[in-house]
Amino acid sequence: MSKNYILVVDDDPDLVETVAMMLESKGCEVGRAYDGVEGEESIKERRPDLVILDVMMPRKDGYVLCSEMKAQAGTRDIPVVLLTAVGEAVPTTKYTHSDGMSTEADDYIAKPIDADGLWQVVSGLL
Amino acid sequence: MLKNAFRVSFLQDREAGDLLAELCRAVALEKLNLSLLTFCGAGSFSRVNLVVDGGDREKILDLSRPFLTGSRAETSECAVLSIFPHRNNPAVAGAFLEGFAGEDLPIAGLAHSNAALSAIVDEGRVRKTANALFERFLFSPYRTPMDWKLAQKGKEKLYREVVATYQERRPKVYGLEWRDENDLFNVSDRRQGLVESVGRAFHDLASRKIELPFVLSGPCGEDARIHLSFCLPRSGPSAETALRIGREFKVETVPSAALFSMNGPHFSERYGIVNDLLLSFRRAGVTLLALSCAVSSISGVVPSDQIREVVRLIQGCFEVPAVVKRGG
Repeated sequence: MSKNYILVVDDDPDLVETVAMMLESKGCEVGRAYDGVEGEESIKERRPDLVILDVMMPRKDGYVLCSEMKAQAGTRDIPVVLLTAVGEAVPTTKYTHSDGMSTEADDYIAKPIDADGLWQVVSGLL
Repeated sequence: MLKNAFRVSFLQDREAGDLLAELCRAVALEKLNLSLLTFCGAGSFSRVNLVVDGGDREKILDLSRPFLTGSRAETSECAVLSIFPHRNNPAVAGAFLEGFAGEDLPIAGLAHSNAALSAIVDEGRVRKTANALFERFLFSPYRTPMDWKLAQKGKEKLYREVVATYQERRPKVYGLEWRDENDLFNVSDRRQGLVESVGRAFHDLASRKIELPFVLSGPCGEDARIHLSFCLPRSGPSAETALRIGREFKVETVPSAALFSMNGPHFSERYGIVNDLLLSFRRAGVTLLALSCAVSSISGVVPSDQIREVVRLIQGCFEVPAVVKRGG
């Protein structure tokens, strides 16, 4: 049986590795990209089974990339999970949960991520 | 690249007390964020690099001045260049060092995280350093240094959009990893050839499929000695590596070392992270052999017989969802 291929897109390379290790421990194959433009190009090169997408990234943020994916026939049905650091602890930012869900993301996870919570969300969408 | 930064680098006589902890406490009280910190204690000196945002230049100078009287200190405008992911592959660190050595570029400091190697580069040398790295590495998103430079625009503005005013009592981390059964090697010399020699040794390690779980470089200081610290799993090849370097340069081996590493959201935006860590270590009498704090991660080296206490202390300071022991 082929492995699920999950693309992780975040401009924090340490977080990418942390999430990648969590997913690889569950038997997934993981691709890595470090900003929204890289993520977009990676999706064109190889279609992922699911995308985990940071919100705040340079060049193209997660909201924009998610919206673009959901607007295109070829990528609309790829599940997208937004990673957000936005929460009660961060009072001043232009990024909010409501903005995230309006992009038609399939789910979101608030940072910091724990492995069980991540897998619960991911496995439910695969 | 993190640009428009400012570094304070100093050497401290190891008998002179815990200057690093005191300075980090002062930095935390002033609510300054540290962009990068490296510490290594070897021989008679502790070697420290602190990097802050350029806008905090005057603050860090004012804070550090009382602590640096009598110490060997230097300061400069700088940038931090990071490459990732390295996946503990020594060939990545080897090529990184050779990039600097090949152009005779000094490394003001080198920090390590689970994913990235970060070099402090003095302002004015950034372009030459970036070009040198493009000679050694293939960066898939960027064909040329100019592509890369253009892509950096806007990143700084993004980093400043989130203002960290965290109310949580204990900062959250993604997880804590540790590994034991390593040896720590410290090597320093005035000759630039040291960097190239260590780079070659790292390539040799890669050919033997030996992991490099930690590498760090301290400031040269007035003694103009280049200093590198690195950890290798305890095994025959690691001893050979030390011997290989030791044919030309003096290598100090600290056997039975253990590593810990963690990363968390907003480490770079939240003041006081390393202060909390150092304070807890000091109270418990932990001997810190090396420390690397880079953007959003912290990695450190302690004696093997203290690692379990270190894990417990970190769990006391931070919200740690999981603790993972990695292979040596």
